[in-house]
Amino acid sequence: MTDQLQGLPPRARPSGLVLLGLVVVLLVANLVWIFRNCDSLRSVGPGASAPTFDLPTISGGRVRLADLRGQVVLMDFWSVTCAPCWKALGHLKQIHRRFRGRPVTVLAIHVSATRRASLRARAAAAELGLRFPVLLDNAGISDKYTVRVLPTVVLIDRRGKVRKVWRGLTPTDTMASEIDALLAKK
Amino acid sequence: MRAIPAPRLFVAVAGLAVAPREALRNATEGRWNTLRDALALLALGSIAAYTPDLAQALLIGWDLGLREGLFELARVLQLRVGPDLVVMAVAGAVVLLPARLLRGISLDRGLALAAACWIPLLLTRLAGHFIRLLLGRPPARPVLLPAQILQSPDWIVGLLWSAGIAVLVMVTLLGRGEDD
Repeated sequence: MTDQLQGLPPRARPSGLVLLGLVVVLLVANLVWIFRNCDSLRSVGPGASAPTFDLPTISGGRVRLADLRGQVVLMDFWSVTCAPCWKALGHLKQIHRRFRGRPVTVLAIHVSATRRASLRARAAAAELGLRFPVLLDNAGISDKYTVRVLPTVVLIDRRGKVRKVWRGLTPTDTMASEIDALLAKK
Repeated sequence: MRAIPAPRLFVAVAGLAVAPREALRNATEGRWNTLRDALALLALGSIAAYTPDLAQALLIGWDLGLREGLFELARVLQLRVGPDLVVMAVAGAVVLLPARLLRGISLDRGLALAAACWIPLLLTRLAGHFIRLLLGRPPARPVLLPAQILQSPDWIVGLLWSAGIAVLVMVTLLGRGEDD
């Protein structure tokens, strides 16, 4: 191949160096950032502190995770467009009924917070007769919890630590026995 | 004093910014393989700018298993590189079709010219990442909808610059006495 730089003015060379420098600086800065923030890139798993949030509900209220300290929290990440999620919400409904009156909070977090998604989530909650808060993720919380599969259910203990992450549909009894175990701990 | 050697890829790409007519002449006359360089720039730029996303895919693979890691990698590529590829394909078609219809140039040469029009968009995206880094801001959210492009200054500048290069390509082609 003949010279691809033929006819280019001498200033093309320093400009090329600037471009190369820009790519190298970006790469190095990102590697430094990764080195310093490695933990934030890891999937949230058992033993990790539950990332905090303050999200709107479909009924106009707000829920802050920090306000639920002292309670066992069961959170379900879902979407109206995900068929297994509807079944999972049915399981959560059973859990909510089973642990009523005990320090257990059940939350359903809809992973999209657009106006359309909000309307559809509200309709779904009404259809399923959900009596626990349904939140709208307008702050990328599902990313913080590394939600890659729907439904994903996260169990948080009374001290705000993640205890279990279930990806995909999980039987009610499995979740209930874990909650019982956490409630039994002082 | 000896000049500092710079890789030819970067000098050729920067040549499009500092001397577009000369760079385009090299592309038109088949001396500069712009398609290869545009794809190399896209790959290098993506690795440099989206390293945290790629590292997260690796960590997810480590934590959750190979399948989840590959799924995450595909997601990163789709979200981060996908929009660039879509715009490049559209820009390519816009240049390639008239170039072939008006001047009857070969597919290879047409693709090379179309690739030259993609490069400014890649450069402004890189510059955008660099400016965000200097300002200490997190990486830009992936552009998913055409409407979101209007909220991204680097995309707007890049698209305008790319359009300018596309016009220059057409002018260069129409001004040439001989066909390909």
